Amino acid sequence: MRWVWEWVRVPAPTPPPDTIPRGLMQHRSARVRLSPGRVAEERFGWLFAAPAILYVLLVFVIPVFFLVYLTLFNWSAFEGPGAFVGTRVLRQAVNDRVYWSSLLTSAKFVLFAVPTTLILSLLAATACSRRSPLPLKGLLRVLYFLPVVTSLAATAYIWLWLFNPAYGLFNTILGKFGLAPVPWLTDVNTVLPSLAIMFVWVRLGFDMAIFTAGLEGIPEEFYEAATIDGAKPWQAFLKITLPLLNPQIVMVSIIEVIGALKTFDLPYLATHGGPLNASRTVVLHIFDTAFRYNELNKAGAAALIFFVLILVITLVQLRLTSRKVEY
Amino acid sequence: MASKILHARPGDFRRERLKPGRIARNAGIVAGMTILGLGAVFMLIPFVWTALTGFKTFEEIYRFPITWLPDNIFNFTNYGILLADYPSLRWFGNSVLVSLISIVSSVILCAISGYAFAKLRFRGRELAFAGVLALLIMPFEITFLPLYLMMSRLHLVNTYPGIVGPNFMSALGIFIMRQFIQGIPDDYIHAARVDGASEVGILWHIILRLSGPAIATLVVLKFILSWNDFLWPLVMAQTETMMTLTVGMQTFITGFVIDFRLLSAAATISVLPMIVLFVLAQRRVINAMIMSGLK
Repeated sequence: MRWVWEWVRVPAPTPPPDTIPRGLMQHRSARVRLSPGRVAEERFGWLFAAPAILYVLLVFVIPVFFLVYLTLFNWSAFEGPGAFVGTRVLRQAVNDRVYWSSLLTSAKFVLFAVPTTLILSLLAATACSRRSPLPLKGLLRVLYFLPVVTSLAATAYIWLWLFNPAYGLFNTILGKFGLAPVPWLTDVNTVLPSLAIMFVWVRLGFDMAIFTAGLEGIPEEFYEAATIDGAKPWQAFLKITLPLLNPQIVMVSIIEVIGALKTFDLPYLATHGGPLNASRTVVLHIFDTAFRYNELNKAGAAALIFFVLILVITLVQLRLTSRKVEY
Repeated sequence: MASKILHARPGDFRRERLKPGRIARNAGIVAGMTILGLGAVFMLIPFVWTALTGFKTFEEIYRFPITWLPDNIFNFTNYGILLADYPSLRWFGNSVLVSLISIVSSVILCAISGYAFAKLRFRGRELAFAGVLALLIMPFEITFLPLYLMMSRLHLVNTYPGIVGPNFMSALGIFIMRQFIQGIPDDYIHAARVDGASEVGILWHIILRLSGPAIATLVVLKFILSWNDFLWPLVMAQTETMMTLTVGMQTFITGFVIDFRLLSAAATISVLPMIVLFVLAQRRVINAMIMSGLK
């Protein structure tokens, strides 16, 4: 995401003037002909860029048009393309109660998962930063990063045991402290927070790594000056660390909001959208509509609406974040 | 400690004891370490439990109150069942094969295109690269459905080319290669051209030889992402023999019945290569994963 706007903001370097010297013989209005070298460069440019261009067409442009096609034309996986149906499918998707409730579920999931992840990873990164007096910081950073490199498909199910209301670890621990057992993934009200705990587990290390990199960039002198002025550590955190870490915080929140919004494998693996659709996120809904109920048109329309939504969010975020942050 | 006592001057100990700041500092360190340590335990528990459960019997798994260590630590029965009764070797092989194809073809194609975007001037370059960037921020969760339909039209569902699918190249890979190749001085390329090297020769002898670090990052990145990939192989692999490890192990979950023993054994096999890779190349893995997340 960050790269995109860096690329947009930084003007492309102006190409050096053409290699042919403009001599007296050349009339100004004459078309500047490319030297043989430049012609070759042009051709090889196209040739070498061809894989990328084809790739973008195949994996991005055509699929998006395909989504539009899916919403406008009848499609069945066996019979192939059918008749034009206009906005019928789109209207069906818009009027679909389950779809909107799945969007709402995703939004709620973002609210549960993202702020928790952000705050915890920020604190953990600060505690493990260069300035922190704690021992074993490097080891801790590595341990916290472990879930980022492993597949959720391999680790999600073990959470079913951790969360199990009867014999799971969490309730065992709660029981040790004399607390009432929590139904975790099996209750409509606790399922999303429980999934959010899993989300924190998966994403904490990643966010922490970015914050750690950001913290390394804050000059030590600022903290020294603050200490001389008699600032407490928490004051330094609030007045120096937080404002100077703003770019990283913004970046991480964007990544996590979009990441949480498009969550698929967490609910697919842990709850299958249950109980009572309480954890049915948008992407899971699209997946089920397409592959479980074979309603490809409806799934296409749902995906298209979701695409537009993500597009709008991305554009808004690009606008918000491309403002220069000055200290 | 001993030297501290030996070289102590009068008043040293008293001063230390009287300093409230130091006591608060030490208390802070202890408290911080406790919290972070608990956090680390929380991060590790799923892995530890997975590894341990792989050695347990049915009875032990549902035992209450729970026991951590398996009764017989060298109980490889679950791994035996996994090998004998399920095509788990095939799943493992599929994962390896799919990752390998993704890595090799991505490195080659991304290096070629990255060179074009970084060093060659041609009309439409900016537009094409804008397309790459657009693809970079496009969530795969939106395009997987039309991509699946395209694949099914091409009769590629449930085949290896289909399972590799969009992973044969990557927008992120093009981006990484372009950024790196831009840093290679133009003079090298000009000198080679003057000496009569072809563009292919330049690509092979100069660009590829010099972009080792970027290629290494790309290899690590591609390995992690395709080894762990779930949504795409889940859609594309439809018979048991074509599944990758991440998809195959889901067959141990049928409705609400979960075979924790076999799942844990399979999950351990799936997670272990990643942990080994991470331990061997921490820096590069962290950098690669940050790259993959910063889309």
